[in-house]
Amino acid sequence: MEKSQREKPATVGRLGQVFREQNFSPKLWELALESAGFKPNKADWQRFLDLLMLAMGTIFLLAGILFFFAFNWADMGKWTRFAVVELAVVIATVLAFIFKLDTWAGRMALAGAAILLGIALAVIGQVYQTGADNWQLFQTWAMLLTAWVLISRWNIMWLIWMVLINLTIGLYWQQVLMDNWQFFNLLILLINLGFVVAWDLLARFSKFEFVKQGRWFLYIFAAVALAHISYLMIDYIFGFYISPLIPFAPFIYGAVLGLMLLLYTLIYRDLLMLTLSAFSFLVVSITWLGEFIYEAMMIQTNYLAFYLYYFIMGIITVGMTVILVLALRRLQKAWEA
Amino acid sequence: MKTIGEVLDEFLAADLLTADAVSLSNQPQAENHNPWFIQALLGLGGWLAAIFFIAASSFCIFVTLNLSSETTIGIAFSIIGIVLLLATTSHIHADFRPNLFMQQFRLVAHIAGHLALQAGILFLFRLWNYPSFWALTLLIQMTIFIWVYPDAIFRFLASLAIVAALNLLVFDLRIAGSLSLLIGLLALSLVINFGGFLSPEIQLKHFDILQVVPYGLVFGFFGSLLIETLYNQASWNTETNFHTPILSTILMLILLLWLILQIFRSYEISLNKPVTWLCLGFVLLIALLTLNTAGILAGILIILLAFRRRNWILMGLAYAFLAYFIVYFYYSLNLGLDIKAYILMGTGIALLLGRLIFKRILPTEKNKGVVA
Repeated sequence: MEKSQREKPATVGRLGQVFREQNFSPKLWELALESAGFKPNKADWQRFLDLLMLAMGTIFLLAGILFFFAFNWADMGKWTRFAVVELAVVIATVLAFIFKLDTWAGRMALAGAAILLGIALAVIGQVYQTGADNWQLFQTWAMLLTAWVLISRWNIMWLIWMVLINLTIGLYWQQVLMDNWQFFNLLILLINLGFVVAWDLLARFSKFEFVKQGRWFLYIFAAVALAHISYLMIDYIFGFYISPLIPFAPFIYGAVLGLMLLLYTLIYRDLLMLTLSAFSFLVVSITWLGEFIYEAMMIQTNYLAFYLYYFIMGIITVGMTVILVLALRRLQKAWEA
Repeated sequence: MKTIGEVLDEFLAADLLTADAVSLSNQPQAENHNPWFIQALLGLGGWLAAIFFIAASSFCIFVTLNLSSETTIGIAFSIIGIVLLLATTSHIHADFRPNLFMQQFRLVAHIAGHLALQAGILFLFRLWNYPSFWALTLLIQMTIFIWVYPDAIFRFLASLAIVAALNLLVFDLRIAGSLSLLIGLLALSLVINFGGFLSPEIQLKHFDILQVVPYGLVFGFFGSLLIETLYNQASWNTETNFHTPILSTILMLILLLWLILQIFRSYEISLNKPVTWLCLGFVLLIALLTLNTAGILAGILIILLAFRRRNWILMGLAYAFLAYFIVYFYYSLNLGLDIKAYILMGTGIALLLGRLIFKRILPTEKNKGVVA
């Protein structure tokens, strides 16, 4: 909802604008900053320095302990190493349940336990030297973490879990398959977009409260999914690689954009999701049209063709941007009405 | 956070303002109809379109004129640059209210004008043999247009360009200690601006510039410190008098001590009190321990400046750079991992003990007589 000038928060920029527009005396400037809370008092300084020294002291101490273990790591027996990391996991998990998962302390403890779990798996891999690939570490980590993620009801845990899944797939492709990267793009698209769609459908139709809050992290996965399908389309446009999937890229892309449009206009109104889709569409369209026009015009092989090419591309870019923005704004106004 | 109305109401209640002097609108005002992501889409479109049009113009001009010699290329670039700069500067000063797309389009054209003019000067006078002169022309050009072209993004980029030009001057002239002096001057400018040491008249008169340019100087300041650390490590570095990290640390120390004294004075804390000497001694100790890494004192300086005005953006930048310089300091220590571990633990314990000592010396209203 739009606010009047009086109702807007007193940021430094707005205060400066008001002072200049209203021609207030500069002698009132420092008082205005003080009144708006931009000049801390003695107690504020004490709290700040206290917190700074506490945070930095804790970080240095923990870093020192970490370095100490790193130095003595080679001399530690395998059971000592396991005991150290697994004790840390147990302590963090117990703290999470003591503090309860509804509190920030409990959540941070659970997140710490999740990270320490990965470190414990890495230590096991290091000790036994099985020759396993990294992707298996992330795969096991993600699998073991699933139960905690489900009970956490916290989107940060879901974020960590999805990052592990993406890493597992990426490393598997890089270390084992090392081929058919178009199918990798497709799989990343399906997993990330599937997660986003599933989450939003749950938010719309289920009674779980935690899925209705903190949707910000969904935009990350939507952006990843759209980036991968956009890359697949660029592959299709330029014909970098030959793959059985490439001829289907335009249909897949169309289906993705159609799904985003349907989901985020009819079922869940989200202008940012539609704007992310618009970004992808703008980039892919300009690339496609650019390639098409280039191939058509460069047959002429004269410099005028180059000039006309860039000029036409400029016009197309202006036109497409304006059309997309107008469409989004029209939708925004319709929703606000 | 208080609203504008609440701040003005306090002034009215204290008779610092009269009701006649305040004429704020009570009507709803939209600062911008578009959410930030739609603005980003518009901005991206503006930039892409501008790049295409500039490429088209360049092809048209350079192919038509069939430029071959450095002098003619220089003249052509200079003319294109001047035309773009004049056109965009005139447009921004005219009473148009362009949308974000046109604003970004104009900005790209303006930046292209600067690049073209600089390229023209470079080719015309063959300044690749005289980097210092080129740096001076860049410095003068950017300084003029910071005043003349009122666009926040341009002013930020121009301030980065100014610091880059100053660094180029320093590296070309190789005067002993000049890099440290540059770092010191940048730090001084930040202290004056962010510390609120400029008079209110100047702050309000040049408000738009002072809201943007100092942030560019912050990046330039830390960038110069980074260059100093990287230069320190470079294997091809054979000159030891040109860059002097110890001098940078001394300059940071002087500024930091001065700032702390100013802060104490503003809160009427006497210089004779133990807390004053404790703070100054603590800073001196950090300086002695980190003589070769001025970035640590620089980070602390910027953190204090940021909190002095509750500037969270500046605070975030300072924390990020401080973290880098602390890691660099410990990494560059020529000691074993076990000694480093003990030093880190010792530093942590010292900070935690220092916190307890401060609480003893300065009990707050809440915890007077209570040890945390």
